[in-house]
Amino acid sequence: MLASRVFSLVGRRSISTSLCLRAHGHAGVVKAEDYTLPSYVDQRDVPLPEVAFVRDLSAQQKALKEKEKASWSALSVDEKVELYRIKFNETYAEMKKGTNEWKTILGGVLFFLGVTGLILIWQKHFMYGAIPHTFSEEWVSAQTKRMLDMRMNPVEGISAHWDFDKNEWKK
Amino acid sequence: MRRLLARRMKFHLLGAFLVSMGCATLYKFGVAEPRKRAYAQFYRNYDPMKDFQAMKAAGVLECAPPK
Repeated sequence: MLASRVFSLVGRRSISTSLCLRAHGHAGVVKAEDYTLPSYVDQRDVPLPEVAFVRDLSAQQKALKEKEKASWSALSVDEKVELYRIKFNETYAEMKKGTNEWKTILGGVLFFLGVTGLILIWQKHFMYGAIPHTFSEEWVSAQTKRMLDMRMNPVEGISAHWDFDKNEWKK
Repeated sequence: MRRLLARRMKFHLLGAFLVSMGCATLYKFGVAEPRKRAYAQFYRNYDPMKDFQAMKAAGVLECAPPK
């Protein structure tokens, strides 16, 4: 109800006028946006793109296009190259050429790995508490002795590397 | 650009075959065969009773104390 009040305040005439202008200004046809039209691409698996590369030809290029309509043997090599460049942006060789981007990427990756390493060092030094007592020298040696006593992994694992007759690690 | 897909496909099919066969061969002769030999070697002269007595003496068996 309030909305209708606003309508009467603004005045119906002004709203309808502006709307009419938009609709009837171009005789009801909307201009086609660029992205809706066929476009040119440089892609290896699209050998003949939908449109030529150069859309608006200069006077010189237009003259060349006229000459193209006649016999092609009359064209010089430079003219042929110019016609190619009108139609296409990059040659296949140029398209397939590699860049040096991988160096940047590798450098960035290694840099951020380094930053992470620094963060971890800082954390170990300033943040974390003591490690559990089960990592102490005595505990680990008692642990290993128990593992050997119960013949853990005797075929390929730890007990396979211990010489039980000489009571030492195998050489 | 002639036979672009065929050339690429031939290259990659051959490569995939070689890589997979290579991985399988490497695994067989790097992991599987040594493991089989290790097990054969272990069980060649294995005496389970002697092993049991050794474990018992060491005191790791809860139901069979060294006494």
